[in-house]
Amino acid sequence: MKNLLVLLSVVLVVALAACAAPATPVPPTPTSPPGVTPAAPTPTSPAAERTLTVWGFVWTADWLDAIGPGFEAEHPGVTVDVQRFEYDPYQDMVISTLASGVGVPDVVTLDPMWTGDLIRGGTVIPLDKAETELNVDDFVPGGWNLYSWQGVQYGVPLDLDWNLLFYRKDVYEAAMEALGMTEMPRTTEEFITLVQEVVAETGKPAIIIYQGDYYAWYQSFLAPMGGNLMNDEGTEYIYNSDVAVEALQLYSDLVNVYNVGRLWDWDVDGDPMVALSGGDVMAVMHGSWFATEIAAGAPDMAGQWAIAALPWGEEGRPYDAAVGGACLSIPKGADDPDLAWEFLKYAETPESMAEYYRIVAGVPALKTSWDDPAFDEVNEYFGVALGDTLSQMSLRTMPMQLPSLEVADLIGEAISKVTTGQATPKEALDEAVAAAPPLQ
Amino acid sequence: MTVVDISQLRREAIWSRLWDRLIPYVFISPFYLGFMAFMLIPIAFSLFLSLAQWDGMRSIELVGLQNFIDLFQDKRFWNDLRVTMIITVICTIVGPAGSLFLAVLLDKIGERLAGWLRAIFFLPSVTSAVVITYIWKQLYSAEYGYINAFLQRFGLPAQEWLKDPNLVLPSIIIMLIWTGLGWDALIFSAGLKSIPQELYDAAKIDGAGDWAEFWHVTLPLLRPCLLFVLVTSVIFLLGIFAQIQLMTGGGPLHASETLSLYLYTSGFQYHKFGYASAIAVILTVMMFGGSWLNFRFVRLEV
Repeated sequence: MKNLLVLLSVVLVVALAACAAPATPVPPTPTSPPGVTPAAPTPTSPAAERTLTVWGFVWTADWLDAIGPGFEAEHPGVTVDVQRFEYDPYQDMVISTLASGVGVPDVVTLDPMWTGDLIRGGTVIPLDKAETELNVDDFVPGGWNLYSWQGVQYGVPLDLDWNLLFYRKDVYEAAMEALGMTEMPRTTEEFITLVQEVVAETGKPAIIIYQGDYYAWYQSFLAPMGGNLMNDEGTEYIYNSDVAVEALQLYSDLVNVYNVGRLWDWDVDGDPMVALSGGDVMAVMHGSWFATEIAAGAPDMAGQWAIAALPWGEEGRPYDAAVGGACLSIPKGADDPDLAWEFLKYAETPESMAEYYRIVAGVPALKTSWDDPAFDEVNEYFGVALGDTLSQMSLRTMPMQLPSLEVADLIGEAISKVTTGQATPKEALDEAVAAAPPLQ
Repeated sequence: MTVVDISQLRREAIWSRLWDRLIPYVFISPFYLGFMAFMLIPIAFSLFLSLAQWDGMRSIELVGLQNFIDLFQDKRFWNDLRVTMIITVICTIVGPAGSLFLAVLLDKIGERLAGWLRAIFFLPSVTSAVVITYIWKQLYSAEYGYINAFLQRFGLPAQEWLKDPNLVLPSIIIMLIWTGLGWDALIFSAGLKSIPQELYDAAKIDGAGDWAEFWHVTLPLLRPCLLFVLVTSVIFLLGIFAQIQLMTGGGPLHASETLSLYLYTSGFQYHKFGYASAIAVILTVMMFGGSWLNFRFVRLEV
């Protein structure tokens, strides 16, 4: 009996020890501290078997899967391991993993909504060779500068995500005809006249206004009207400037004064597709990716939807919107930053970026990729060459500044207070700036 | 003749005794190792972090009680504490009271029907919180919800159940009470079954009516069940997260934001792990306090 117990104990101890040990030995991770240039790329030896781990979310992962074999062919002995995640869990996972520095991939896809903190926290390495080994002039400036912080580049842009006006062509054109307008308005004043006519004719809200959505307000109103979140040095928040107050006043007035907008709260109202496909609201402001969404969500409305640049601001303004969009970065602690950089360069070739457009449908920041025939194909749903239309519009975008999620929430709160009449724009924005954590 | 080494035998006997004593600990060690790795160490680390500032990226900086000082000056914290207390107090009073009423009613009707009804009432307890929350969210939808459709059918105005700061909390509380009703009723039903019939017979002989029976026989003998329901309710409600996160995300303007949501947001959205840990410490103290109050006022002895 005693021997049996001894045997069992030994088995148990061995089993526990096996559980405690990692499944695969983790090699020491060479780190490149911020500011240190990774070593120059070395020719890949065919004998050296290496795996490049790349993280992507939903469609970007599909694209990474598509370009992986091409990179492997150019780099014998290298296997690209694309790990695909859904968007929401991906955000939490990327933030936690990059923050801890444990188990980071070689290449990570980042989204501007939560990248500001990661860059400022030093969790991704500076891409010091970007200026010399990539043709920066070939990128839409808004897209390229998006991932630059205090003059240092931390990511290479994939698509450009800026807000456009998706509107019911049949309804808006009828209203324009009634008003004698020949083209879609390009200024706030003219557009309000038009949407008031839309409301008068249909009895329904002319446009969705997102409640408490800092991204919608910033991209679509504040930026084209000439405001921004931070000063040029990135040392001070300025989203309580006169322009910001004016932009928030307009945002609120569309619902509460002009009565043309329908406040839509994502948390409570859910996906607005139900209202758009049901004909309950006649327009919405969304990123260019929404072209695919609306075609899938309201397939029987083909030909009834059109796209236009946002109209907020005065005539002659330089930009129509601020631009976001995903990027590829190299986490601090990546196993092989040199190989990761080679992958980033491969991803930024015109061929790879044209593939990105074909799979993701987002307009790439790399302008030479727009020469691909895919951009000239007429989109059946909208009846226009969508790629070409969107890429030309993207030239009128400016880069977003990337705030922390806390600041994004504070701005969202200010928007909610103003749209529900609990504070004036000045009061709400002053309070939001006062509560913002210091910039580092 | 065999030479016996006494000291060797003694050593073996000592080792044998030691081993016999050690063996049980080896067998129960997996639980304690897991408990240490996933409970004790994180709790200790959280306590430590509550005295520090850490964004998960830079080094940890000890700041003493600064997180607690900041927390007590934070309007959002006090708002969330108020919301948490309103939900906890109302659900802890109304929920078990309704469940007890339901259990007593079920106890009075035929066993076959009661069994079916118990199963129906219990169904929400075994249904995913996500599913339940989405169903209620649909019911509460201002434009497409069944509740507003019902109101409008009778000429009553539609309400912004989840967008109006005055309505959002009652709306969530109704859902939470409904969800917990079946579980609590099942506990009370089990308790009711354990009360000897002789006590009711004796009470009847003494001239007790239904109310007196309930007050002097049923309720006192249900104290252990009541204590269990109250303690588990308080702990669950003080830490409630998923249902509110899915229903409103804490909005509008934090009108439905609980301390758990603020903890999550501070830690995993804003990367203020020290601040979030301070909230966790306060929540833990509140849970201990709530449980102690229940033990203090719902005494076990009958």
